[in-house]
Amino acid sequence: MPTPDLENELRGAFTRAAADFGDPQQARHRLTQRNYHPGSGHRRLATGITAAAASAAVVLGLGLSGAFGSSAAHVTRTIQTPAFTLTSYSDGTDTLTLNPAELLDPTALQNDFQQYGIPAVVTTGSLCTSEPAPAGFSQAVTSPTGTSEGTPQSGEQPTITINPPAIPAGTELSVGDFQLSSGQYAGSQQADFVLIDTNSYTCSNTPPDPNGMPAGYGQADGIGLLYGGPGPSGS
Amino acid sequence: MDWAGNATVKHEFDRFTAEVSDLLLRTGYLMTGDAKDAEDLAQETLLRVARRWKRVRSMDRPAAYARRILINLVLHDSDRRSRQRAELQPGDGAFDTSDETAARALREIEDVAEFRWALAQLPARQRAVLVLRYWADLSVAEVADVLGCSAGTVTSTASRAAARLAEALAHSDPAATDPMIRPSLKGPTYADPRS
Repeated sequence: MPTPDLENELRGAFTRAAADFGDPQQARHRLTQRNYHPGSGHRRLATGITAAAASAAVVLGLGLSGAFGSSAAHVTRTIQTPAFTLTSYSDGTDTLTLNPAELLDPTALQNDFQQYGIPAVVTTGSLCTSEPAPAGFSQAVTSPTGTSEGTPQSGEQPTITINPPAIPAGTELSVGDFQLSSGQYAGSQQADFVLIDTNSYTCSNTPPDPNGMPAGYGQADGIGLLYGGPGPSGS
Repeated sequence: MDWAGNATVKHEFDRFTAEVSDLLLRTGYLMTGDAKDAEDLAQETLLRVARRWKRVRSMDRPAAYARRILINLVLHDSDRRSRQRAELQPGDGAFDTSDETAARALREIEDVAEFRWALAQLPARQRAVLVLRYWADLSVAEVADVLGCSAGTVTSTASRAAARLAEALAHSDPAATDPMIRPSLKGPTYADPRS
């Protein structure tokens, strides 16, 4: 064991080093604002999995990647809110994961997209589209989880991967989130992702066909995800 | 238990998060030398505590449990990288720095970044021993409990770690303490004296 004198010096050095932590107040605030869902069985695992995996990628050096990324990509930044998690990777891609248990705040998501350098229009209860549909969507956005098919499950968390540099100039990402109140998927949520012409688009409060695309958009021009349905929650 | 239907549990965990955040952030900062990594570690720790909250909430010291998770996250990461192979084996403490010399090196630190850099040169388990013993102010027995080793291992590791820290301080390059080129804990950046 080190001598008492050395131990005192160590204590002093550690106290000074710990006090050097930059802006802990903001970090504390971010930590307390995150959505941890204590003691909620399997669902809390599903709810927290993106953030957990994201930070584990940093901590464990595992690296996460979407369809665009390399396996060596690691998390560089994460924003987690109750409704969504936005994670940035070292390869320049970002992932967005939606939490079906929380209502999406479109302004918050749009602002966070901006912070990540993703030009976007985010709406709830409507979707903005352009005609003709801009090209290049499949190079800019993919869904690692695939588009939803069949009955959406309540524990399911849709994820998309975005490659911001691949968003063509003059276009931006349009995200429309709907609470479906009628039809086959009543009670579920539907999130649609398409590209729009920044200077020419219209918004409609009619959700696109869950099994199709908005008018004027081909199958490769967008992604529609069904989630948060009344199926087994896993909890 | 459904968290959404139990506001009390959620409130209780939120309060715990507020209370323990500073401890986790600073411990993570000392263990990684990087504020962002510290925040990621703290978040991962809280997620793991949340998953076990039903059990953790009844513990005498849930904050200590959370700190243990954080330390283990760093150690497991370290183990994965095999950076600290046999760090507790004989030969690892091949520094003949005396305690007096080590104490003097610590006294002469001019920039706290220099200390952080030197700390980052230590294997994770040695770093953990020093952080828990001299920042968290845990007893030798408590450190041994957190790290799952004997009290004797803690004391011998503390001595080796202090000597190694002093050695790193003696050879620290002021330029290396620049945050932009500071050695990252994510890579095997320190020179192993045994090699």
